[in-house]
Amino acid sequence: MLKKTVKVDNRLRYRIELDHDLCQGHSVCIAEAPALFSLNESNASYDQIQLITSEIDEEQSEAAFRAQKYCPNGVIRVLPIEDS
Amino acid sequence: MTDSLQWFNLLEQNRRKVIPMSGANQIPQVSGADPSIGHLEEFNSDPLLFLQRVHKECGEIGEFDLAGLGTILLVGSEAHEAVFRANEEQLSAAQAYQMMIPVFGEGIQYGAPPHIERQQLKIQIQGLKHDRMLNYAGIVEHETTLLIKQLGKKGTIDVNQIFSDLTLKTSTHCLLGAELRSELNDEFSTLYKDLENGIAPSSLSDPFEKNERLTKCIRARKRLEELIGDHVDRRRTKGKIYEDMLQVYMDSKYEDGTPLNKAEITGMVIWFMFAGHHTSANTTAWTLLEVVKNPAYLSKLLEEIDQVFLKFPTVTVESLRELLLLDGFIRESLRLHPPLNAITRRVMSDFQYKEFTIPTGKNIMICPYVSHKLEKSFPKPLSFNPERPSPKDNFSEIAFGGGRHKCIGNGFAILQVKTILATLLKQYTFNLSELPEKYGEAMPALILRPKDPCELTYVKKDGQGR
Repeated sequence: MLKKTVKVDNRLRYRIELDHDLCQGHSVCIAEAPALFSLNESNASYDQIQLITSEIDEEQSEAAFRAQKYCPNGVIRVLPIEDS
Repeated sequence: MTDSLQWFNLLEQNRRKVIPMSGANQIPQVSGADPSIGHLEEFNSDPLLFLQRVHKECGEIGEFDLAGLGTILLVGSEAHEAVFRANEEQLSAAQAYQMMIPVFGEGIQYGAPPHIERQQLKIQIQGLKHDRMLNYAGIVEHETTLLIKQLGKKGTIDVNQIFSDLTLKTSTHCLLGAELRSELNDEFSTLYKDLENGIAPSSLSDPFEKNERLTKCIRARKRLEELIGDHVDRRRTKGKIYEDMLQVYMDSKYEDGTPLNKAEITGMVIWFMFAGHHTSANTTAWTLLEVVKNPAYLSKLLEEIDQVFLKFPTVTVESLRELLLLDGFIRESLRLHPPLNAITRRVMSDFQYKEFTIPTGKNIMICPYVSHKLEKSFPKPLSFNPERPSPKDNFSEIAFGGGRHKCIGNGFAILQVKTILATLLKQYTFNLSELPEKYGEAMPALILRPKDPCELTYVKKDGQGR
């Protein structure tokens, strides 16, 4: 079945996914997109990145894609939201 | 703490477990085991050739015997993911890497209880965060510029030697600051070499084997503790705050408020240096070698470097990001010549992979050198292609390992190699000094590097003379 990307006010929406198993808290994403990512100072080996918001619009997507591109561990995925 | 007696007992337990299991789900066993020492001699003499044979004979999963230590080689992104996502309670890196204890010292990393190791790891990563990286690019460029002054207009370099020296300086400068870098002398280099030589293929099967190599390694560690301890004292007397890793170690406290003592600070320094020095040196050497051996991409690469330097007069994190083809050269060099090739975990409770059960007490090994040549992950795997698209998954390219134990210095390593090569290639033309087939591989101390001697000639470009 064909899926359609979701648009709100004619703008694309995106979902951000974080793979916490692989995140070591390098914080490159925070430097690139401070409105989307923050540091959760956890009790684990590494501080973990957490999402401030997991759904974003086109305007915020540029910073999110930079975070995805430059994350040294490749733990971020930015995906267009599709109708189910 | 596991000592040599416990290690011996563990080997004895494992020796009994090497008997192949019966049934449909038996892990394939590689041929040619000696009745007393299994495949130890073959592994120690050429680990990469041996691991390639294991894969060829057994496929995705194959078992061999290192003098009683049953070891299972797992190959391919699916298997890597299963291993890298497993937790420490099931697959333990600490138990597999006991050979690092004499090098780093008791109470450091795998020689420390897990809750202390966790806090030490957290301290290490503080010095490798993005804001710190901004300083490191400038330091590496400065050190490379000093090298260029020494090189002059033309000559011959041994890439192993030159990049080992350079990365010792860059790492020391970023890690320990300008002062200790300026005091860097032959004694430091010798001490680091003695530490690095403390590890050999045989360390995997017998980490506490008494030999001259290990004695020198332990002595070198003690001497480094004196030198670094003196430096810490002087710095504390001055009271000045520095922007380097040493300052991070000096200022850090464990969760109970205890600061790191001098032995621990030394251990942290060695841990960082050990993880980053020769691996970066060798990656720089391999990449420059591949640049020279692949002239088809050279003009495009040089144009990219010139354009970036025109736009950014000095090296910064932003300028390095625009060096996409150089990035491709480094990643492809890491794929074909990964520095670390025996990524190991100890099975702490039976580990299920597909239809196979890997029993408690065995070791699991992942070998990037083998996995990076899988046709499925990398079409035409033996050809060098710096424009090769990155695999879509996180577990095919594993030069830095993966999961919770992935090398935390991977960003720093790429930054360092890129900065050195961009700075050198902007000013010099390099050529092979021998026929291409003379440049081979060697793997002393379990780190893959170009075979000695590995010489290139160089000439400064027009308009770049002093």
